[in-house]
Parts: sequence; structure tokens; C-alpha cells
Amino acid sequence: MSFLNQWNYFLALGPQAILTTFAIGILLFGVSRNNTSDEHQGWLLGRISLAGVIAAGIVNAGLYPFADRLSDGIVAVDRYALFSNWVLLLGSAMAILISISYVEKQRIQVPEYFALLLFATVGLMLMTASLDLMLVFIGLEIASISVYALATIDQRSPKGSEAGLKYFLLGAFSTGIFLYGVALIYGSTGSANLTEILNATVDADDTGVMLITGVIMLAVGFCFKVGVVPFHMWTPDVYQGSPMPITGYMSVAIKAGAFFTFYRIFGIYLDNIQFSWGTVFWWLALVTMIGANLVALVQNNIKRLLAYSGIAHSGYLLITVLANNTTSESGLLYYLAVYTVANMGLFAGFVLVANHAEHRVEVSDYAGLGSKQPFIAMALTVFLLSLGGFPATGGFIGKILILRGALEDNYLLLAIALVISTLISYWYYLRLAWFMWMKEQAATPNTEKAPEIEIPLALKLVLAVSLVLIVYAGIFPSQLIGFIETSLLKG
Amino acid sequence: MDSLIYFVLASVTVGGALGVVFGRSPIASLLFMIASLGSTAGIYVMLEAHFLAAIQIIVYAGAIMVLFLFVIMLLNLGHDYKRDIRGGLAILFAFGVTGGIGGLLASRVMPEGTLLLNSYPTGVSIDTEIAEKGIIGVIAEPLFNEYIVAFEFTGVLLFVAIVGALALAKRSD
Amino acid sequence: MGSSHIIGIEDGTAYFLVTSAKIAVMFGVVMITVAYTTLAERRVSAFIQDRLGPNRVGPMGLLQPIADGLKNLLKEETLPASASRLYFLLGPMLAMIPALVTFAVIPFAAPLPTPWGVVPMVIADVPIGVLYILALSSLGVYGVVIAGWASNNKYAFLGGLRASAQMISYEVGLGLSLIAVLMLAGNVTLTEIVSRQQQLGIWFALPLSLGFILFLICAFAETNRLPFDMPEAESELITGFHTEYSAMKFSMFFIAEYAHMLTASALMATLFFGGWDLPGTWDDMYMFQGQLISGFGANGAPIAATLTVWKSLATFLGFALKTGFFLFLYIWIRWTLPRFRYDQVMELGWKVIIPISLGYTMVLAATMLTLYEAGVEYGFTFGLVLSVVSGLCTLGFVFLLDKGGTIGGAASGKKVTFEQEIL
Repeated sequence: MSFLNQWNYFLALGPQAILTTFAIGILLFGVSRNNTSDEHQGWLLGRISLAGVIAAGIVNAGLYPFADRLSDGIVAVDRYALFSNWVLLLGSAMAILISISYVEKQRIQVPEYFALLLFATVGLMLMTASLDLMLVFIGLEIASISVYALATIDQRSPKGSEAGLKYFLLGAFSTGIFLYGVALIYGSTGSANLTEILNATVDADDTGVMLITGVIMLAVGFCFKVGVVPFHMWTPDVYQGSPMPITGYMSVAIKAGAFFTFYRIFGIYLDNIQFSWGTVFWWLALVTMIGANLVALVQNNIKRLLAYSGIAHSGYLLITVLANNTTSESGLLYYLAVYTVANMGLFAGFVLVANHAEHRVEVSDYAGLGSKQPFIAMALTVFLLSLGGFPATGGFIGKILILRGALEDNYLLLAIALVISTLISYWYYLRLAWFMWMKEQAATPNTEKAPEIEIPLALKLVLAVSLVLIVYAGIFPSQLIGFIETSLLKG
Repeated sequence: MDSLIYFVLASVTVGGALGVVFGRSPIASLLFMIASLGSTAGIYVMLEAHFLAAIQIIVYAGAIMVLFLFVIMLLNLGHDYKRDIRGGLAILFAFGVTGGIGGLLASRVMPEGTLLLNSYPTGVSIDTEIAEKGIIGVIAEPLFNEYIVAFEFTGVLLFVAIVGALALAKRSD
Repeated sequence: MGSSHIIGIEDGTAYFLVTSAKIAVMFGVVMITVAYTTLAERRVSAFIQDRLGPNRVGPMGLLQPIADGLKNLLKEETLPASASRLYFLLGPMLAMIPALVTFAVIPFAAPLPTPWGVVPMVIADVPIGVLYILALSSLGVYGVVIAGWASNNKYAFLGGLRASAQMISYEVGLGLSLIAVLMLAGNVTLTEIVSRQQQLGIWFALPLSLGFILFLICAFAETNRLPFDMPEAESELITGFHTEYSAMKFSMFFIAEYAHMLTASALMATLFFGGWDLPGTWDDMYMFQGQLISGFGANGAPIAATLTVWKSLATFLGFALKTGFFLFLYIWIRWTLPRFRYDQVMELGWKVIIPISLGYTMVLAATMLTLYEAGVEYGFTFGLVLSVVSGLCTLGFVFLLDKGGTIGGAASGKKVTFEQEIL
């Protein structure tokens, strides 16, 4: 698509523009009405934001005829960007559905909540579509700042405040490092435009310390956002303190958006100088996979458990950036799509069990769920298996693709580490499932008797859709793989 | 002459930055920071980036730092306090790491320039462009053509920051 | 007479000497003007209040400022026991420096021909012009704030807080109202703004009337003059931030305030009343492709400007008159209008000035775009259309303010705002 005509930017960024409009509309709606008196504002605004997501999805589908791998602007409209839009929109739609009952029950400021959620999605979608490091930075910041605020939006929760502050401070540092990296790259190549960086590094055998330092700092910034091991310290605390739907959103959308961008930058545009960052990523991937899975073994809080599980998944996905061939790229896309669905489904279940609040978040609270709520327990089990990569679930196919990609590029050691860490991860995924099905509820629960769970329609929808998608992707993967193979950047 | 001015400005910049960290009271740190920002603006002027220099002063020194000052005064933090940077080892580590990176960069940049320097865009010199479009036009044209998306989304970014801050500051009933 | 070569930085020593001379002369002129503005303030206030005012020292009291200066120099310097000495001393310096250096970029007369070349009558024609002034005037707040804080006196402290809040608030409005000028002039250097007014044939005050009014209001607030002198409101805060200061340090604040007034007046004259331009086209001269010209002939060819010393003198006089008028306006308003309440100041700044200047910018931009699209060249007709549009906007603005209720009165029963709570 040519951007000599500036109106084309509106077309190219149609989904983002629509979401922004809806977010602003929600905010205006929020100030134009008396918030406190309206009981069902959550339901109403939730529906409006869901409509926004759907509208953005329609525009996204309509963009396919214009998809073109060449772009003379700073925004890409290729099928890769459109695919990542699908994943991000799906993640945010599910987060909205999960949030509706939650925000009503927790009496969170509804308009700001949904608006920030949409803005975060806008930022992530912008980031995945951008071909300029400055724009990547802006997108990343839009998403990060929205999520900082969302993490601590429930002011009555001291844990939420802690999470928000921690996330904000560490996030600010990582942003600084990221930006410094961009500056160094700009300084050594003379441009922040990815295409020009690619051209500048095309016959580089010794690119100089400045560029390499910049690239490493860029990587550190990203690694922080996705929680790769030495930079993961914030993840468990922030996940634990944030409102449950936001935790889900963070674990899914931020990670997906960051990885889509990560791959675009490192896998494609910095491919020429892989010798500079390859070793670093190799070690990061290894440490992340093994370390996170080992620490996850001893977690009893499900949000912390999921945090470490998410870190481990970041480790798996790093392999795809490193291996960097068509198989591993499909692996990345497939894995992120499936991971999004499974993780959001899991969080839907968690929200239900916690009864739209922040209690009952220990693994032991799930004892006896299977006999009382077989549907929820069954769905949760499937999602857990998919995260672990059990055959007949979507996660299995994703892991196979990643493995094959790694082997094609002779990352044998990493492939072995991936298998071993997957085996380790079964322990904690299945432990939760075991509590659900095999353990009876303790005679005297430590807090109160578990209330009868009533499933709202929205959550039923999320659970059912995720369940169907996961199983479908696990049993009939060829269609999704076929679609993904048309969306690759490589090949 | 130019290099003399440069070294004065550079040493004020770095010295000011050190002063921010080692200043004994927040107000002193703040004044050091203003000095540092101001001399950075001076370096911008030497690089012919006049607009950037003006914006640096207006935005940072004139608005943001005044807000900092306002907050420091309002919370009455302006008094000397005990140093809370922990022992020598931490300082040594921090300076070791940053010094290492800085040294690497310097060793690379100083003697031979960067390898990729030849890929810098070689167009009309900035002076002729300034003469033609004025100091604002030189910035405004790419900003509203090539980087219009970045510009607009920066607006979204600031808006999000405001909404986020308000959402947090609003007292829940 | 002399060469038509314009003395610039490439001339080395000549440039250095000329610039030094200009700095020395302008510094002297500014200081004397400041001194006599204080006298004028007292005489005018006396006139307004039907008194005599100081008339003992020298003929008609004309030596009064010198006597005041001597007195301030000889008075005892005091330092409050619990004040922090360094910052206490720093305050007046920080207040005075920006006030004086802003004058450097204001062109005060038509270029002066000398035997050695043409001397532009501006100390430093920096390419960022207006932005330089904005930048430095935004630094002026530090002196006030630090002085207020270092005095360790609650009244001084409150004055400092008020000053910082007020100046930040009105800086936004000031910048926004300036956008109108920058859009029409298409440049930020002040010499260019003056020459564009000559080319337009109308001073910007008419085509940008609302912009001028908003600028005037914001400039009053920025200089902390009545009706916006919240930082020193003597009936509430003794004298605000300089309560603890005496002798020359107090005098420096005083000089800073009047120098600010002078700069603001000169700026209003330059931005909206043509600077040194006098009515008629006989004195027009501006740069066109490196040459000073006075306009274009019938065939479109540029006509070289004829420079004479008396033209420079006349234009300087014109500039001084315009500036003097605005100085007088400052004094006039101070002794006629009562002071705003603090929340009213904030409300006016944030809820009236900023939205209106934003809206006005849009209206203006749309008008200018339409005119350019319609093929109207930058010139007299252009200015006339803009004048009509701006006039309508001004009427609307005045109507809005006049309706009452825009700024809540004492009896409006408004809720106590956050600022009020703490200040």
C-alpha cells in the first residue's frame, strides 16, 4: 500500500482508529452520566466495547484485499499484521467478556476500565503493524501505560496498588532501556525505519559496538515486557495484585503483541546481524524455559502459577525468534493464537471460581471442583493440557511446530530443553487438574464455604468458544496452519 | 571556539546529571537537573537543532521541572536528608556497568567513527532547508507527512496517560 | 552611504563589536526604562487616585528612581535566621536574569546603515525567535518559587506556590494564543514577523484581534501584574514571595518584574502592532533572497530598500511609543481593576482561555486554508477577511465573558476547589 496519499493511513490503521473512537466514546459516555447510580453500566459499556472490537475485526477482515508486503510508509499492512490483529482482538474481546461481571461486582470505574482496555489493544495493534522503531515505541507505551493504570484501577486493593507501582517503575526503566537502544540504533544506522536499518546492515560483518549495544538494549526492553527470565521479577507480583481479568489480558495480549513485534524486528529486519544477538537469545531461552518451570513447581497461588507458566512460554517462543525459518514462524503464530485462547479460557474459569473477586486463588481452593462444577473443571483441564502441550489440544501442534523449527536450524540443545521443560511443566499443570478431579473439598475450608457458582452468559461464551477452538485446533490443525502459512513474513 | 563551548556544555551536562544523583536535598537535585537540561539544549543549538533546544527548555525546564518543584515544595521534601544509596559495592557495580558500556561506545565512536556512518542520508544541508522553510518548517513537514501516524498516536499516548492518571487519582466513593 | 552589506557573524570582529555595542546600549536603555517605569507607576497611580505622588527629588521628581536605587543599595541586607542561605541568594538572581536576556531577540528599529555596513537593529536574531522568549520567560518562575521556598516563611511559601501554579497555567494559554501569530506569519523569528506585518499591510492586531486579547490577558498573568498578582497579593500574603527580602535583593525582584513588563509590552508591540513598523509603506523593508527590499514593483521585481539613519531613528521612536503605551496600559489596569480571587484566576486560565484559544486557532486555520485554496494571495484582502472573522470571534468572546457566570463570583456557591483548600 502506498502512503503517498495520507488518507491511506486511515485505511491501513482502520482497526486501530475504530477502537480509539470507541474508547473515546466510552469515556464520553462515562462522564455524561451519573456513574454511581447506574447498576448495569458494566454490562452496557462492556457491550459497547465488544461492539468496538467486533467492528475493528470487520475492518480488519476488509483489509485483506489491500494486504501487501511492501510499504513505503512507517506502517505495514501485510497479512502478518492482520493476523496479529486477529489474535489481539480475540484476546481483548475475551478480556472484555470476562470483565463485565467482575467490574460490576468490584465496583471499578467502568468507563475508564473499558476505555483503557481498548486503548491497550490499540497500542499493541499499532506496535505489531509498525515499521519504524519510534512507532513501535509509541505503541508499546500506549499499551504499557494503559495496563499500568488497569493493574491498579481497584483502589481499595493494596495489592493492586503495589502491583501497579511495581509494574510502573520497572516498566519505566525498561522503557528507558528500550528507548536508549533505539537511540543507539538510530545513531549507528542513521534511521529508525526498519527497512532502512535492514539496508544499512545488509553487508555488515562487523557492525560495531554501538549498533550491537543498541540491539541488545532493544531486546532487553522487549524481554522485560514479555517476562524473560532475568527480567521477569515483576511478573508474579504484578499478576497476583492485578484484577483477575487484567491479569489474563496482560498474560495474553501484551505477550502476543510484544512477540509479534519482536519477531518482526529481530527475525526479519535485524536478521543480518543475528550473530550479535543470537547467543544472547539462546541463553535467555534456555534459562527462561528451565528456570520458570522449576519455580512454577512450588507455586500455590494460581495467579503466580500462571505467571511462571507464562514466563516459561516466553522461553519457548524465544526459540522461534532465534530459529527464524518458516516453520518456526508458523509455530510462533500458531502458538500465540492457541496460547491466547487457552489462557483467556483459563482466566475465565478462575474468575468464576473466585466469584468475580480476588479470593479463592489458591490451588487447594480448586479441590472438588470436578464433582461440583464438571463443566468448568472439564474446560479448565483442557486449557491446562493445552498449555502443557498435550496431544489433541492446540498447544500440542504449536509445540511440535516450534520443535521442528528449532531442529531445522540445528538448535538441538534448545529442542531438548524444550522437551524437558515441557515435561516438568506437566507436573504443575496436572497438579491443578488433580486437585479439581481427585481431591475432595476440605471439610472446613479456611475462609468460607465455597459459594454456588453461577455462570453468567458472557463467561459461558468465553469458556465454550475457547474449548471448541482449542480442541478444533488440536484435532484439525491443517486449516489454521494453512491460513497461517499465507500470513508469514518469511517466504 | 566551538569545541571549547562544547566541552563547557558537555561537562555541565554530565556534572549536572551527577549532581542530581548526589545532591543532598531534592531542591538541589532539581536545580542540577535544570542545569543539565539547559546545557543539553545548548548542545542542541550547536548541532543546529534550534527548535529542539527551545522545546527542551520550554517543556522540560519550563514546565515539567516546575511541576517537580511544585510537588517537592508542596510535600515539603526540600530539606536535606541522609544519603540512601547503599554502600560502596553497589555504587562500584553501577558505575562499573555503565562505565563499561560507555567505554565500549566511546572506544568505538571516538577513533574511527561508526562503521555505518556512510549510510547517513546525504541530502540538502540543513542550512539551506532552514533558509527555505524556516526553522519550524524543517520539522513540521516530515512531522505532518511522513510521521503523521506517529504524531497522531503520540496524541493517543498522552490522552491515555491522562485517562490513566485520572482513573487512579479519582477518589472512589 | 556606506555599503549595503549586512553585518553578520561571518564578519568576525566587526560583528563582535557591533553586537557588544548593541548589548551595552540596550542594557542601559532597559535599565533606565525600568527605573522610570517605577516612577511612572507611582505618578500615574497618584494621578488616578487624585494625589501628587513623588515630586520632590529633582524636577517633577525625575531623580526619584536614582534616590530609590541609592537607598536600596545602602540599606541593610537581612537574612532570615531559618532560611537556606544559598537558595535565598539564588532566588533574586534567577528572577532577574531571564527578565533581562529576553530582550535580545526583539527588533527595535529598522536596520541602521553605517559606513561599515548595515547593522540589523536586533541584538540576536535567533532562528527560534518567539520560542526563545517563551523558553526564557518560562524559566522566570524559578526565581519566584525558590525565593518563596527559601524564605522559610509561610506567606512567602504560599506566594511561591501560587506563582508556579499560575505561571504554568497561563503559559499554555500564552503559547496557544501565539499560534495565531505564528500561523499568519509562517515563521517564528521576530524580524520575520515584523516584515510579514509590513507585507500584509495591516498590523496583526486586527486580523488576529482575539489572539491579541488572549495574549494580553495571559501576558498580564505571566508577569504577575494586577489583576493577576496572586503571588504577592498584599492583602492576603503580606507581599508574597519577597516578604523576607530587603534592600538590593528586594530591588532585584522589583527590577525583574518591571523588566518582564517591558519585555511583554515590547512583545505585544512587535507581535501585534508591527514592531518598529510605522503606518504607511515608506519605511517598509524586509529580507527577500538575501537583499533588503521595500516591496515589489508593478512587474513583480523587488525594489531595493533605501536605508537612512533618520528612518532608523523614526522607527525606533515608533517602537518606543508602542511599548510605552503598553507599559502605561499595565499601570492603568493595575490601578483600576480589583484583584481576582485565586480560584477565579485558575478557572479563567483553564476553562476560558485555553479552550477559547484552541477553538480560535481552529477557526483561524480553517479561514486561512480556505483563503489560500480560493487563491487569495497574502496581502491586504487576506488581512481584511481575517479581520472580519477575528472580529466576529472577538465579539463572541466578549459576549461570552459579559454573560456572567463564566467566572464564578463570590456568591456563586461553588464548591471549594483543591487549590483553595491548600492555598
